[in-house]
Amino acid sequence: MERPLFSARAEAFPAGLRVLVVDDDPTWLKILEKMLRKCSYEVTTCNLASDALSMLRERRDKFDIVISDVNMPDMDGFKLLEHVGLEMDLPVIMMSIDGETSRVMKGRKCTS
Amino acid sequence: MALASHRHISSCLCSIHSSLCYSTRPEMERSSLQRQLANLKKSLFDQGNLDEQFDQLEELQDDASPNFVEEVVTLFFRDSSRLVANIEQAIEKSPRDYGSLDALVHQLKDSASSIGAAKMMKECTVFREYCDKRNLEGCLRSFQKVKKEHSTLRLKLENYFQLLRQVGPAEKATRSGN
Repeated sequence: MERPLFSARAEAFPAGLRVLVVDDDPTWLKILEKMLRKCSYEVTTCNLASDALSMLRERRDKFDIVISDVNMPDMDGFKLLEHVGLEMDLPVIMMSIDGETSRVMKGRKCTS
Repeated sequence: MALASHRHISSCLCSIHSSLCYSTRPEMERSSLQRQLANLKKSLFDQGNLDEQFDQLEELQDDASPNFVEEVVTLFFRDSSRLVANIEQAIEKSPRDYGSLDALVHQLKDSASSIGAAKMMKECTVFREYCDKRNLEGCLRSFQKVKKEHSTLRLKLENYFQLLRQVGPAEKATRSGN
């Protein structure tokens, strides 16, 4: 099945897109939630990568995309990316804060 | 128990007082408050306490979340105070683990970036450089600066939101289910 190419522009995505956003920082999590809600996405927040993984495993078909922070204490964001890529075939966006700007990087699907 | 009810009474009196003042305050005084508010905001930016990320937060505020910025800022100060306390512990620990210390400062810096606390971010960067070099004195010095900026910013933003409350409409919009 052909997966639509991900573009950074919100207009490319339909309202109601089901997003799981993972960030250990509660302030960033609140901000991201608001930003995504303003795009009319359906947002679920999570502050622990391990919880996110359980959620994804339990409700496999309930999300369209995962947005995750790179720098988290319990699990490296890239580790989460690896698990999600291997088990779930969901697109993942990794977020990294470099200095003063927040950079969104395209998540690559992992192939074993 | 007695102290709590005393504070409760005084805060009730304060809000009654401010709403009375708002309804009888002439337009001239209101626009002077607005000017104060604008000046306070301008100085926060000019002095580098805040950067454009703060503007982004204000743009996110809407009818569904009419107090969004204040909520985010409150959340930030609550969480960052915890991080500062953790850093305090880590820096006093012996033997010192510069790796864990650096990780904590990194967290604090990332958190500061969420509200555009530019000066805090800069001080955290310097702090991390001293962690890298395992320079204790440098760490202690820069930590002092981080804490100072943390308190300064907190006070200035408390002022800012207080002014905002005085200037803005008296009633708060009800939250739509979201």
